[in-house]
Amino acid sequence: MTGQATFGDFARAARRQLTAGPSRAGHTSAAVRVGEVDEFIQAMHRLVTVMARYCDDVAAVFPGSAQRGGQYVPGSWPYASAKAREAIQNAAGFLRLGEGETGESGHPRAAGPAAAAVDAAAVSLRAGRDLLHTHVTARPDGARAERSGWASVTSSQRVARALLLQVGMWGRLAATRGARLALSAPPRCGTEQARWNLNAACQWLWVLDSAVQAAQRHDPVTATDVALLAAVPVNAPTPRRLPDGAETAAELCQGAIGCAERVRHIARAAVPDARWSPALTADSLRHTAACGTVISHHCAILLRCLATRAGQHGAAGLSDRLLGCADAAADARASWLRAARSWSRVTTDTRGTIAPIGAETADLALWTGRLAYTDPAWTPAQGPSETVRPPEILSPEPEDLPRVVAAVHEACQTLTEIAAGDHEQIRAAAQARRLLVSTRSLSAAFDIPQPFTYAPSDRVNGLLAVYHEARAASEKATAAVATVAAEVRAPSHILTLARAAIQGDAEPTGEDSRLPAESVPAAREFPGPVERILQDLGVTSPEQLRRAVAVDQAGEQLILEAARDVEPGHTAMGDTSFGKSAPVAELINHMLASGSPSAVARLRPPPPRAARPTVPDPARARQAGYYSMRSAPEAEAEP
Amino acid sequence: MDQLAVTRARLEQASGLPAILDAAYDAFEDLLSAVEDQQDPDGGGFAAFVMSGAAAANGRDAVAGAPSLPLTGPGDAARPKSRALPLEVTAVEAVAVLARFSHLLASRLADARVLAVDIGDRAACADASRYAAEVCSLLGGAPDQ
Repeated sequence: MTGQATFGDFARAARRQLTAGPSRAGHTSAAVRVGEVDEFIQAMHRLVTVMARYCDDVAAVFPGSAQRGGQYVPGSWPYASAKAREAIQNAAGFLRLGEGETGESGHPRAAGPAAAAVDAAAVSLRAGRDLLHTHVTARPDGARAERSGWASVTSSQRVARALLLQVGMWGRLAATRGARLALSAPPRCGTEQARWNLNAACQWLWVLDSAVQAAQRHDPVTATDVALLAAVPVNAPTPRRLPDGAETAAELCQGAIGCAERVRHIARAAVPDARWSPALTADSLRHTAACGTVISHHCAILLRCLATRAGQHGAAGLSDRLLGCADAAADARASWLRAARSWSRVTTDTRGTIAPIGAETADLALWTGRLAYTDPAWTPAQGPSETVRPPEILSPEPEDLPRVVAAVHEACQTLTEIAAGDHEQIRAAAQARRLLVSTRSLSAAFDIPQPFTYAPSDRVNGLLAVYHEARAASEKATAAVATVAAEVRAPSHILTLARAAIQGDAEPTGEDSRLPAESVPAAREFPGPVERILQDLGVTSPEQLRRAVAVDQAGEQLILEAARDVEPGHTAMGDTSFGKSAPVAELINHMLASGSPSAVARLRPPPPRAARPTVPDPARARQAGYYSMRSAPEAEAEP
Repeated sequence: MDQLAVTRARLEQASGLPAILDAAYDAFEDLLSAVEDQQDPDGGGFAAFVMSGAAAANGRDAVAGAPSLPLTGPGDAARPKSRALPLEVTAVEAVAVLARFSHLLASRLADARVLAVDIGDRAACADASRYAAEVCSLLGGAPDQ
């Protein structure tokens, strides 16, 4: 919402790179350069390497509870995740590199357009994964530590499923591109073995996608989850910015949103250890509590103003709900005010400084104040002369309303996080006996020859209680505004989706669960041999192409029926097909690309020789969680 | 005569570091009480009064940490409590009165800093003067005049 890079930026770029250029047009012999297959294999290896890491990330999310009888349930996402890892490892095994190549960044980039596009996609995917990993870090003991509120989102099962769906799509697109090159490149562009390896790798990528699509059919990822994954931003603070007085209402909304995100980032990143840190001061906590009071005051003003405007636009129901939100914000204001006042009678053992979070929270009070009042130079020092911005200026048109709702929503969410964080800090400080009182504030019965003494328990408990209230009231206000944000499709409704993903909630009400078209396999991305020949001949007649598709499908059906009657072990097409019969490889590619579970079960390519696992004893295999797809193809059938 | 006027007179007449600090402590207490009385969301200047409350409490704590502040005295908890400002004072009037009061407070603490020999006293006076000036500024005053 603030122009920061999101995962979706990189995912879209990768998809664009994998679909643009030569793969769509098809490779012609004349257009392929000498050595292009080898170069393409290197680029594919880099792509598959990063895709394998995505698969590892996804696998780490799914718990063992998804298993049944020691094996993953076919059609489930954990099963798809396990199969995807196996498939991507096999694909990588066919893309072995020359000495010195590792698949990591830093190697020379491809020069040919096809390989360069795959290289660019690999770079995008690596950047996307790095972005997701900015939200977590590793503690010295190796444990995972969250660095932002998005960390729980990226490790949620809903987002992991959406990520695996993306991986399947990337695999499908890369396979289409790679297989075209493998089958159409003339011998001068690469050895037969190289082209065979490339084609086999592509077949494994289709197997990967097939596993993902099986899970998708059984337990679909929703558009909401895909949108949430795409919305994950880089975990970096936006630059600090203060209003200069020339902003429009829309710009003030954007500024408030950016500031709120920045405050949340700093609130997480710069938390002092309250047990000992001199950065924890009463000055800072007082200042933040006062700012929290002022921000929630502005939220209440803005929501009441929006309610009036919604009523003027004839949206009576929305107006009522906004008034409810304004009341919730006013309750939060009252709670924050009690928190601020509680600091009148308590202090800390270190004083005199205000932490960065205090200054940043004051910025948010300024942004929301500029939005709430008419004076473009408003500051808290404006005093009683301040005038609330008229509703028709705040939201001239109905389509302006979601922007203001988003700004308020972000501010409320920020206050909720601050209240929670400060509550924990105060609790830790109290346990460390860092909360004090001035002896002058005690009754004459206390005769303490020092300026400060430990805070009595009633004051400490009172302080903790009001922060607990502030947190609860801020949460309630956030939830109320979130409902309206979802209703008016405010950009901030992604916060609600994120929360739902973390809590494992069902789909938020009113959300469109249809998947975007890009996540669903396009029909016949990879044409069958007859269709492809007609295309090469330049045939454009829809009727003739339709007949070609029908012939291809009939042929595939015949092959599958025949394959069912053949003993398992005799259907390893890859070992014999490519060199002797490229058309057969093309046909198998087409059938694998269709995503048909039965095609994948019957025509699964062999694993690379070095990586081919020894088929273990079935009982031991089950104990070890190993599952041989080739030895039990029926397990691939739809659940 | 309201409490603020009493304290103001004490502050103006105080001489010597301990006396100024003692009066300043009570002045911050009264300032805090006065701004809390004005923290009405439906009244004017809510943000200014809320932010002033935090600054006043910080200033009081700064004074409380001064080594030369008498541990007990006229400003202790036994001090009779009354409204810092009369009930009928409007927000606009309160802002004006409290801005002048905090300006005087900042000024007297700056004087005290000059008198202070102990580094702890100097730091406490400087911090407290800064917070008083902040209150003055929040309430529309000009703390540097």
